[in-house]
Amino acid sequence: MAKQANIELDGTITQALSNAMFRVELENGHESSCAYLW
Amino acid sequence: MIYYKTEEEIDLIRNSSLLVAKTHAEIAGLIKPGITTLALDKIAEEFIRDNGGVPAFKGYGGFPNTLCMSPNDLVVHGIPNDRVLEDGEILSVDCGVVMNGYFGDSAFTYEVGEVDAETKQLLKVTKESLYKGIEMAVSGNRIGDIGYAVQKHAESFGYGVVRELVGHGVGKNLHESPEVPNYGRRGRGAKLQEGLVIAIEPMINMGTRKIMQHNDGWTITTIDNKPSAHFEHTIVVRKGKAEILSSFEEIEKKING
Repeated sequence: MAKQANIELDGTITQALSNAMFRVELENGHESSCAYLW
Repeated sequence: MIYYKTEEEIDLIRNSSLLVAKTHAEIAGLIKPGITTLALDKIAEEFIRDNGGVPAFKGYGGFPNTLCMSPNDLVVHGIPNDRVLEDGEILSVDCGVVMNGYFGDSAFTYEVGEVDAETKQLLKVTKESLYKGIEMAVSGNRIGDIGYAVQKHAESFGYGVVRELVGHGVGKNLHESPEVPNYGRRGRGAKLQEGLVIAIEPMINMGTRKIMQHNDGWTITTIDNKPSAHFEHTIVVRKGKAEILSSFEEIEKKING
């Protein structure tokens, strides 16, 4: 069964958090506060 | 996280994939004008269960049936129904099985009656592009090499390569990392290592690559309503040459007579 592709977006890290997570501002203006390296 | 499989796990995935192959063969001879996709779906479900497997798609994300049945301009994820197949159509059938905890996944596009030459070529080229992708699935190559090979072959005939739907890792889950797009750039993407089990599944459209999703939350069609073909194998990456775990051998025996 074909899988739906994950959406790729560009973003900029605005803050490195203490638990190895990052605050990221996405190119569409939204902010994500629980981005992590994968 | 990408999980590489042990030989024991590969054996189990092979068994599931071969049951998928046999299930395809079970209905292959019945795909003719006059039958409904729902009738074929029932036969497939019974066959899988009689052989010790469980249909992998039924209940997956709420999918209601055993097979995805996608005629003509349907790309993938078509839900079986009472519509009677007609001469000259094509039907993409996708089937998955889980058995002993491991999955197998394989798809094939069938001709219904007499299909015109243009559409026959779409099927031939899509199947070829699957094998070109598989050729790249060797240890040391990258995911992008697979997609590049599929894309190059299909686009050389002017066909559209679907972007939004991708192949995937296979194992204790139907869909695992990594994603395996049917387009790509050489030398890019995750490195392929021995023991990586993936489903490679070109979805190639005769016209535009653009697709749309319907209100049932599943059905995907080409936006220009031209036909789309789909062929899929579950394979394991090895050194030098990939090993195909699913099979079209029994299907082709049935349809070629």
